Amino acid sequence: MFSRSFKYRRRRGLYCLTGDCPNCLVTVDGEPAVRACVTPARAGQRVARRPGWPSPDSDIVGGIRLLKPLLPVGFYYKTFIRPKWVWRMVEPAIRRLAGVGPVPKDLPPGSRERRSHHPDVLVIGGGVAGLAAALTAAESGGSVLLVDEGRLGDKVAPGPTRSAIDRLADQARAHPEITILEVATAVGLYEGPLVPVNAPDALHLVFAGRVVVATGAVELHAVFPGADLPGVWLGRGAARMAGSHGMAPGRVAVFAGETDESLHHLETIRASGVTVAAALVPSGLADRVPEGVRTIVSGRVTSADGRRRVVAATVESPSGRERIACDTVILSLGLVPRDSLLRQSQGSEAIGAGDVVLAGADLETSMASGRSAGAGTPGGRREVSLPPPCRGGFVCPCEDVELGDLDLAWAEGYQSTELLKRYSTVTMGPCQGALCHAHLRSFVKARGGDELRTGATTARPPARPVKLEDIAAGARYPLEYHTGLHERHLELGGIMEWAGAWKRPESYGDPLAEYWAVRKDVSIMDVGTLGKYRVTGPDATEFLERLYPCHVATIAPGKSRYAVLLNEAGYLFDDGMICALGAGDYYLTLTSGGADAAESWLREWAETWGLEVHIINQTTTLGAINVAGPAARRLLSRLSTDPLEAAAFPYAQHRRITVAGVSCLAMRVGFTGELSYELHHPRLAGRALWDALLEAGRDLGIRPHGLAALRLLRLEKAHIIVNQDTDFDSTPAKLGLDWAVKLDKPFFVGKPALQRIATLERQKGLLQFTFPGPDTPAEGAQLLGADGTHLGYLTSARFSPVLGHGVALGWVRKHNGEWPGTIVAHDGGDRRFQGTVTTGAFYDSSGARLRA
Amino acid sequence: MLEIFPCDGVIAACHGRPEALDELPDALALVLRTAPDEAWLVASRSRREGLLRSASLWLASADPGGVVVDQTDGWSIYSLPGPDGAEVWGRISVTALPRHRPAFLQGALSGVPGKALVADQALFLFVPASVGHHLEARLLATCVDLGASIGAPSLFTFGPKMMAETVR
Repeated sequence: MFSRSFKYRRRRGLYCLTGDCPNCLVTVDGEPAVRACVTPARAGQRVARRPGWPSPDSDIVGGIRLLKPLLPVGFYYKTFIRPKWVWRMVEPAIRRLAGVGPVPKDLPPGSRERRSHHPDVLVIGGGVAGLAAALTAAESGGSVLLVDEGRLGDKVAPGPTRSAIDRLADQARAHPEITILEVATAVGLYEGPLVPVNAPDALHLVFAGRVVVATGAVELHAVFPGADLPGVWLGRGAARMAGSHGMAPGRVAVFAGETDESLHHLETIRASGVTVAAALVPSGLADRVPEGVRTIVSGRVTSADGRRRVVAATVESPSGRERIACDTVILSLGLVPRDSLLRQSQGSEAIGAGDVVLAGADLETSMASGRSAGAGTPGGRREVSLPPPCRGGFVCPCEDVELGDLDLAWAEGYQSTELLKRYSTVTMGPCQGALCHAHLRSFVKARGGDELRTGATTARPPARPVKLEDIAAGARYPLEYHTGLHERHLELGGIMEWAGAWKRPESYGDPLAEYWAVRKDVSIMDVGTLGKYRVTGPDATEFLERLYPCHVATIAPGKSRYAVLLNEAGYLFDDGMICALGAGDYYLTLTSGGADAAESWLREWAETWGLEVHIINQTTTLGAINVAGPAARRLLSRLSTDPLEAAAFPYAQHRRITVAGVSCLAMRVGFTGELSYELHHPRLAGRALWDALLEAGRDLGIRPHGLAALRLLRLEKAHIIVNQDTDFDSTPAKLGLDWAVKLDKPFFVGKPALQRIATLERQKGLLQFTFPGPDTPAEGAQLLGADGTHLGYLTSARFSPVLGHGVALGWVRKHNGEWPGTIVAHDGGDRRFQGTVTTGAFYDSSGARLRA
Repeated sequence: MLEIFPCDGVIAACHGRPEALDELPDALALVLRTAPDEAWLVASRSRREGLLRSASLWLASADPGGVVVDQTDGWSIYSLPGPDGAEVWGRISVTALPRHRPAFLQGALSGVPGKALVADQALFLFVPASVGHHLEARLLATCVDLGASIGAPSLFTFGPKMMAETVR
């Protein structure tokens, strides 16, 4: 016994040895559902069968089949329905009992990488047809990648085919245009064509000019009572075990063979020491059965008998029915194309070669088919006749679907291959129908199914099981954007946090002290994450006039203006500064998190309007440091000889100045509410500038501040943060930013929408609130009216140290046609806060400090 | 052993009318055409001032509406000398590597927007400076079997043959 089945935990032995059936699934080094027959062994490997109780050999849960009346096909829809609590009770038990092994939870993180290839031709399958295709394609000068899920020839028992493979493989290995990937499984065939190939070293993404599918055929799965008992083998598997591994598959065997190939298997198996009790062959092969082997002409196995493994086979033939004692039944009944990948191609992007299109073809025909496919021409196709309808047993060994299950499903109206697949899960197991698909079609056909209902089911990737780790190969690395000062922040003890794609200091350990440094002394902050763009060209002014809702042409060189960006619906999606550098030359800042999207927006409109304008992204070229606080000017004057006093360099203006020897575009801004100079500088000069500022400001109480302090500072000024305080439908009016919109402009993006919206009474707005005392509601707190009506929620809320009470912003809707004057903030549990609606900045409402 | 060398180069980004940029003289520096209305002039860092000045002068006469912007600080440049360029390429990009040399490509490199210059004996990678550390880490991880290591910074240099063959 090698494993146990998925549903009924039936004992299963080795069966196909070609990587198709589920019988050899074991747990290797903690990883469940590994196919032992195609997994190379290595020293130290820990291999375990599925656990059972009291042991894998004697698992009493195997008796679950006695409960089959409770577990009919489609039982999810039939049983454990009422009362509802029954399902909740049994579901965990079913999940524990089903499956192929526990999911490991303590494996170390994977380190799978991925690689891409662009060969002219990809050949999937390294049998005779695949190798012939690869050699032909390579001879014509194209690059060829050949992949095989095993070692070349490894799964083929000794014989003429194996010899041919070995010879062709040697030629292929020596060919400079052929690259061979072994133990590499083609997972699926996607549009492109793209074929992901899963190999031990990496997930290979193969973008090929052409794809040749030469995945061969699998031997016809036997369906009769007892066919899943340990001791029942497919011929190729038994021959591989005997011929390649030198291990006899059993002691006494009943052999059934229908093909020329089967006679080779018979020889190989006998040579390993197996006694063949009887060989069941068609009349055409009877005279080729070796002497001394009892031959039963036109016989067939009707059942394999035994409880824990095969002890006898029951055989029917024209001469009668008999029971033959044996411990092994070997079946070589014909071939079924392993064509899942070919069917995924929908016939348009891949050419089949060899057994996958000509199942059972002789060696020469297979090679000719491969050569033809390698040259880009389909080499013929032969329809495979369906097997005779089965008369009992497991149709789908992966999902434990029995013939009786299909009968029941049919009786319930699921009368096509697709419906039976969905209802019974036949063909949906690890083999993806390689074994049972032909029997499913035969079942439907035998019941009168027409061509449509008998047709092959839709094949979809993955064709072979694939781990999530493999799918995620090479794609699990978080991408962090760093400013030029990143390392400096770490050296200063910065506690970094995600801010969009950037990593920024949340604080340097004491956000309150950082806050007070800005309010009382001076502080610096790395704002290099801001989007920074130069917009220039003959049509630059016209372009920005159309884009922004504020006037742009009136911004004189040297002046700056806060501006918002609106979409066509009039909703705000970004904001920042516009600095006029000169005629038709502007410098824009955009939000750190929204700059990429805003840049796309800018470029789309520039192209749409056909304006001659250059949009130059300088976000990573330039760094930016904000110097903020009452002592900001005093600090800068120590490092710069340029005029910095308010008369020469007033608020909302910008100048080119030199600070500590670094040429900077300095902008007087006011996000923190204090005197501030934002120094935009060459990125590589950032560290020198940062250090010079800290050094020069030592006696002024300087310390850097992070995002935690900034969020509080800006909230005290009631400045919004886009995407935190804005919503998907935030118009400037709702945000209290009407002043940033000039509806007297002839046009700007969003104007038509704003004009329509202006005719409607505003029902919702972002309001400001104060809360008494030190305790402040949490962001996200729900806002209620005096009568308990839900009115909105808080987007930002903090205790203001400088004001001594809580301050907040939040979305509120009118109640009974009125804006509320007070609200109750409820942030869960018993916490309720009485708040008052206010207007204007909470701190320094006149703006005297930032204009200082 | 695969050595990855950070390169000190200068990037003068020329923004102008496509027809003007079509005439950019190869003698200025290596020309990489990044967009119809944008071309990069790339040279060793030692030529920074001179290149920016001469490029500005040239563009001012060819296209008065154009502008030259120094993007040097905004990009991290790496050179990977040796024969492993194609092998490395398959590990960081899904784009097909052209057979002709030199070749210039733009697209995702290990998930970040980048550009690449492929020469016979070297591969040059350009990524935004904000993600240079990411590319370095990914190269080291994905090319560990090639013995990847980060070498000492070097000046961006380009063979005379490549200088003569403008990559457009």
